[in-house]
Amino acid sequence: MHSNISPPSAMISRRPVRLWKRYWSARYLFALFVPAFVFYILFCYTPLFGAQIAFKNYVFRKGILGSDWVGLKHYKQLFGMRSFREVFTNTVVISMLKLVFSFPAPIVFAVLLSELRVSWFKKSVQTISYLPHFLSWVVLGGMFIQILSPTTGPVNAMLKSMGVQPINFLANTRWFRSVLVATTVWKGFGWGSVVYLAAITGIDPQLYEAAEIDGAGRVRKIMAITVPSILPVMTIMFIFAVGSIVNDDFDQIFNLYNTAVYKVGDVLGTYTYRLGLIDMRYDFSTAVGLFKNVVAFALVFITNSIVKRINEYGIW
Amino acid sequence: MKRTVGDRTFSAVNTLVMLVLCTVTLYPFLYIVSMSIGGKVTLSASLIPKEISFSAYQRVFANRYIWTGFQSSLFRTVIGTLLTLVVTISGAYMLSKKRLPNRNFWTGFCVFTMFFSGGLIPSYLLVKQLGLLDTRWSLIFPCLLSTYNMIIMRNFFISLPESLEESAMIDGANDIVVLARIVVPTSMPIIATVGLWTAVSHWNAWFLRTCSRGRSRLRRSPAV
Repeated sequence: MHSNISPPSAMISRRPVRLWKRYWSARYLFALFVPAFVFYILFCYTPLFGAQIAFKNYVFRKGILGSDWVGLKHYKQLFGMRSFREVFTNTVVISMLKLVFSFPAPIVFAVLLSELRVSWFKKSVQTISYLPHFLSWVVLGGMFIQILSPTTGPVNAMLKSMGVQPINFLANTRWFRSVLVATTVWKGFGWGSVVYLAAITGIDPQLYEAAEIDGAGRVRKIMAITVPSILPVMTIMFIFAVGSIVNDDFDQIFNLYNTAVYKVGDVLGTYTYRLGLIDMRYDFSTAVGLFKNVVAFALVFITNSIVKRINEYGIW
Repeated sequence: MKRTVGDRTFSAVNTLVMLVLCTVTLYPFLYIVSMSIGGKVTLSASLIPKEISFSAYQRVFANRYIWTGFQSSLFRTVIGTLLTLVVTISGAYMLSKKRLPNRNFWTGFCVFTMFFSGGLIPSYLLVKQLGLLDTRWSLIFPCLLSTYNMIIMRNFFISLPESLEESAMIDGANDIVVLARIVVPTSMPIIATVGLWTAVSHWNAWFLRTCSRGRSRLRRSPAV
């Protein structure tokens, strides 16, 4: 039932509050927003405006606005380059592999963790699993270079004791991608599980009790209650994960790769960095960055619409 | 509760899996620690060093640049986190208010930047033009605010009971006073969470540093 029925005439005669008045009454709110606003304009929208050099022949002397337009020249050059195909393939292949392994890992971990009964053990495992997240790739890069070293690394020491020839993991084109995927999973599975654990904590325990009375075992309860309950979170995380397929993990690859594995490990991020900041090709490098952005957005958009047909938990 | 055989097997396997995971997670750290206090490096997977020597640490701490590096990391983490929190909280507070005119527009204004950014080079050029290159602020300002964190904070503010603020409003307090005196003290859990995330990201951010500084002048290096 409508509680506030008013005659139509009254509705027409009531003038809408003027916009500027509403803004004036919210002036303190806007005063609070000023720092964030300045940040967005300066560090998000200004660079977006500066991204026009992707279509320009950028000359430092002339500045961003003064440089001449060259249309799609950089893109033609980019798509025509042989190294671009290699780099693009690397980016997609590495990210897909990471998606396949590092997307489910935190989910499985969270589910298994929530099944632990002894609470001190559960807490310790959780804390230990968070550890790698708090270290940056510079530190971890140095660490993995030591650990995977063919001459002094413990991994090769173990292989040797099993009678396997030492493998130079970081300089071997067959192993490099596996190392990237493994280290990504290693670094992220614990921290990534936080979101899922929070969702699992929110599940009504009565559901499990009811299932128990019906004679369901542990695995059955997981499949029939836990997994469906965290499906909304999984969906959103999946959409974001797909969107990051072209957003390679720059820090990681930059700290682990070397010229020997460029063929399988050079990705858009590292490629743009080398071309842009080291070879000073600002305009070309920006063009690559913009291309990445557009692909990422398209991927999020497409995944979101596909997901929305399957279940109702899209981002928008 | 009675425990069946299947139930026990599950628990046993699960515990085993967790133990393996912990070992795999901890091993690299322990190995590096053991290596850093061990003298010579040899091909071995053992965690117990053959001899104990702290020469590696002595060398590291004797390096003048280590201290500059630590100082700059510490400065960035402390000041950066404080500034980030102030900007995030105040921005999130505005977005959380229903009486905000054109609220969807302002939310969109912020969320848009999550999907589109100018990219590395235009940001670099901007920092350069602002004259921030080679200053400590070049590490703080460009990543001052994370929209994702702000939205999370906003959602928390929305979930706060409105009556809390209304009473203060009736007493004549404006939004800024309400935020500082009522909302912030009641939102400590979320502020601590976001603060921790920010501190970790500031401490670990390394890439921007290489761009906005010259060569490895101020790099933090692991003690190995």
